[in-house]
Amino acid sequence: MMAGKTTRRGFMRNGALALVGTSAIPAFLSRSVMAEMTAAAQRSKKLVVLFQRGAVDGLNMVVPYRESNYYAMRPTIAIRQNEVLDLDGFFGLHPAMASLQPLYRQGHLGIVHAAGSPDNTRSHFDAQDYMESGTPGIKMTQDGWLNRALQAERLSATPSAFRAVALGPQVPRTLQGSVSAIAVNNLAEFSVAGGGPRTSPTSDAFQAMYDSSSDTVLHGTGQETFEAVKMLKAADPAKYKPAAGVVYPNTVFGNNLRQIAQLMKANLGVEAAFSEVGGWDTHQDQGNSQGQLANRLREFSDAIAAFWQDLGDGAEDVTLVTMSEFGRTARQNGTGGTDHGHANVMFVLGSQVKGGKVYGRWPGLANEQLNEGRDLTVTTDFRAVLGEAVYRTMAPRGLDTVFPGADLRPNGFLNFL
Amino acid sequence: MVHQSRQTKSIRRSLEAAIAAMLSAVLVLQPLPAWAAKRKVVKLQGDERIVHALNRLTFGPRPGEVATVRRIGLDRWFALQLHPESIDDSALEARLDQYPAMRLQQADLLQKYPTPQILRLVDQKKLPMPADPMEVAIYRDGIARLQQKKEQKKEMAAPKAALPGDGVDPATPSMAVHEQQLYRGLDTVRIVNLSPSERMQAIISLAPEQVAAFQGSLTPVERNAMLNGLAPEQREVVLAITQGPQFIDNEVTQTRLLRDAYSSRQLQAVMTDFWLNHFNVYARKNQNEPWLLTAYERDAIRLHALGRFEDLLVATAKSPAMLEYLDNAQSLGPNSPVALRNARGQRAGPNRPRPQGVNENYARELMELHTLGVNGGYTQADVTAVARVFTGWTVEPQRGGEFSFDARRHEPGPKTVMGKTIPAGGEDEGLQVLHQLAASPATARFISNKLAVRFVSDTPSPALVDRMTKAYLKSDGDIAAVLKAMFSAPEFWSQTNEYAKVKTPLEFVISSIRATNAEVTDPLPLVRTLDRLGMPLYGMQTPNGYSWQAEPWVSTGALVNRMNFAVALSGNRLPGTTIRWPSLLNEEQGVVRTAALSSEEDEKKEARLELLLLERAAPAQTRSAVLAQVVNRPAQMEAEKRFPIRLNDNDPMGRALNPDTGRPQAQVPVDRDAALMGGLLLGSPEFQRR
Repeated sequence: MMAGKTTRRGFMRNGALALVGTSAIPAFLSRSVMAEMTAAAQRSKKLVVLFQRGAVDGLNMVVPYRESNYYAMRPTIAIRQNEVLDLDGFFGLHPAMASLQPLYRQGHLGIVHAAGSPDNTRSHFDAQDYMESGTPGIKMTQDGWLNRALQAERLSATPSAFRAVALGPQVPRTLQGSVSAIAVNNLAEFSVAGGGPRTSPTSDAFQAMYDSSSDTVLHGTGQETFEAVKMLKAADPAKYKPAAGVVYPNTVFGNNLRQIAQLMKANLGVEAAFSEVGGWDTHQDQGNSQGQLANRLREFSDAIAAFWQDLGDGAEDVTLVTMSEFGRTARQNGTGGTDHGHANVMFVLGSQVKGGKVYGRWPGLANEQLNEGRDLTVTTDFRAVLGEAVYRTMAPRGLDTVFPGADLRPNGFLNFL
Repeated sequence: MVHQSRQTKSIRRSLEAAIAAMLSAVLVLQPLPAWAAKRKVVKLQGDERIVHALNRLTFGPRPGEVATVRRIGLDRWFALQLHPESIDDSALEARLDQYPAMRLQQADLLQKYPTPQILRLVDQKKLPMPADPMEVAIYRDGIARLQQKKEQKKEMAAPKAALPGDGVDPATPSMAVHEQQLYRGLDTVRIVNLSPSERMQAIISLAPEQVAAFQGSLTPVERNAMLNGLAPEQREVVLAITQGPQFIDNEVTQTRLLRDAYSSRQLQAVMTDFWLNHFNVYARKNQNEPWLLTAYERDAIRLHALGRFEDLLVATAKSPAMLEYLDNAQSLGPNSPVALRNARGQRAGPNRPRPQGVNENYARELMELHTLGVNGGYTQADVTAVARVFTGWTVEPQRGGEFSFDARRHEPGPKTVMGKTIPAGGEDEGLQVLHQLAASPATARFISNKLAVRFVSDTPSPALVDRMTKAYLKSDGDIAAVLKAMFSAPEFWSQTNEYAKVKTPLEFVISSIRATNAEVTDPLPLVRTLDRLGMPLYGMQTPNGYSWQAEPWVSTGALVNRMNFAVALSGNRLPGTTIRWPSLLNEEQGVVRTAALSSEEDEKKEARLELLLLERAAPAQTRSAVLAQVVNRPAQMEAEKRFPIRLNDNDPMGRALNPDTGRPQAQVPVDRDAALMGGLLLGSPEFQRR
């Protein structure tokens, strides 16, 4: 792991980025260096991964409205047939997700239903851990699947400091590993001791310390930090305002997607971006077409739709996938909510996506078709969905290292990409 | 060595630094961990040992502490630290006097400051309203707050309504929305200007619907004035009324932070932090969890932090905080009387009760994370058996604050755990399993290894872990004995392990407070700093706790935040925390320097700050970077403003702040040079390690 990091840094030091990282270079010059560098990165595909933490109720997100047992099992929380936004005559979107319906109709949004983990755990911790490590049932995996996808990528250009970005205070499990990833809450605050177009003298003093430090760990991260800070200052993503008419929800998640769009528009070489969004653990009073879950879904959809619209032509190279650790019980519980279940729904959005279709084999919702008599049965391994997205965007050297043990073969893909 | 002049020491240190740099350059090419290299262990000597011990066994040395330990003797100091009850901690206790609620026993805390669960029961007349008029005010306003939240939820359900806070669990209490526009007629100013006792009376007499308006209409000046002159208990009542559940959350985190920074019982504080992380619980697990954390920290963890591991294990197993966090409180034996009764009742109505049964969450984490470790030799069948053993271990259902063994929820019959038969015996089954787990050699090794990672190195040598494991087994799991074995092991004092550990965000923040002798009058901005640094107190959602290894903490974003915090703290830009640089440097108080010092004076001052903050001479590159900056004073002022922690509007204790001046003003450091140099040193690579 260490060796990989060192090699990459050595590579960067000799590349164009090393120049950007030198404070002596005037801003106009570093901009043109960056332009050259990012021309290559720009051509590469970008994968955006959204994690709905807390286990969203996929059966109310994409409603199987022709299943009579759906209504029998959910007397007060079901979405009525005349309320769903029809997708294909069998499934319909939750009405709060209206902003995504046009993307489905235009063929950009694909849906995979009854996707999930081969592991049966109903623990949030374990299920998220397995989904992020990409190795269900194995807790000892050190790195995340998205990091391994980047490790396996055939690099055609010098990787950028912003190659892997997570919006949030910490690098999530999904992105942890030997490829460096940046975690940032707020781009405007990603600056040492002073904003503005140039680094502050204090920042330069810190940089001098870290650059010449004999501390191998802090030296390396310090270098990446100042590189990233400088790139950000030169590119000034703040100037990329949302496109005309695009309004992101004014929430943490909405701001995260807005900032991912800014990073992409600023050509900072983002290849993988991650954001999470919480509030899905609806054990009580989840509501139906309105209520708690509806509000969460509205924010979720509006943010994604705004992101898509905002990227405009830039959306061409972007593929976005959504995931959640498991689904919820097919039956509503005694407190107007749902408990931890099994299979769930995943979204895939992109101009290359063959959207406008609900993928995956539908296992049915009759009592005898339910997993352990209570949950939607998994018919598509979540790794097959992520694997296809990785395979067709990042073009890794095989998927065996990304999802070890999953035995993914391109001829077994759902072919949504 | 002890009386060595600073200069010789500094030269020697620089030489050592150069050698260390060369060594570490060699180590980069060396893929094996340091301990695997077959060379003679170079042991630390003299004051190096003291600094090393303080770095590892405390939250970082305070100014003058090295000399104190030198005077007492390092071994004797360590022996004292192993017996915290022998160390006077009155200075810390005086600070904690401001938070009397945090000293209440669990039942009394719930009585005085009820959870939403208790408030609902009182509202439904299932629990009585208290008699004490202050408590009545708290209950009445709490119930009103709950109803208001319910209304808001209904409103939010309407289309196009505002969205709830993102990333917040729906079960988490959100900050109350202040309806400033309503109740304009309320005489806020009049109340604030009353004498303390009349003001207190006026606030508890506010009608519930007026409280939100009152709170919302307060300007920051008035908010501080509102609390001015009140006794700590009165202030808490006012905060409980005006802030609701946030008040408990704030006090829990603030007192924990103050204890880490100021307790003289530092080893106990460090071990409490270690065990709180080992037996991790999450404040936002559900609405009640914050109320359970004080007792958890105090009665389950800190009480046993240096005692027997089995006692600690039993205390956590029985703690409502853990029973709730890992769902054991809800676990139900499938053949228990309650389950059988539920099964009979299930045919009754269409709205069946929630599916209930054994919950394996605690059983699994008990073995995987608390005792044996993931490869500790247990199977899924053992997890299931242990889960059955612990059915009935729950929380008293009405008030939700005390452990209770409910035989009606317990799975009858004998169980087999790792080959051992546990005869049917109710609560005693669980105690037997905990004993079995605590006595297991796998547990001894797992705990010893984790302690070695915390105290010695990210990759501790097997020989060290062996010594500690033997001490554990020989002493029946006496934690102090394990620490003694570690303290007397050559590996602990090996020069290769000096500064081998990267500080966690908590260690970084607290050590910077200690190194600068900072005066914390409002810990809340520091609590928020930890959120930003990715290590919120009681904020780790998953049961594995935070990592003790360097990797997760040296990310790009983390370093930016650390540097910005260092600059803000040293410039006294962080509200509620003050560093008095002149007194720290024994300078004349009140001297405002306008002219730059001569470079010679700069160098002298910088060298003193190095010793003060780093307890050693900084490497040449750090020193020159600091000195080069002293010419850039205006930049410093800009830099200090950048750390975006603001005083929370719900600022709990404005006590140190002058109510007449309103919002606390950032104090201008009297010695700007020291602040500038200090900030750079606190953000330097050297200060990130211990």
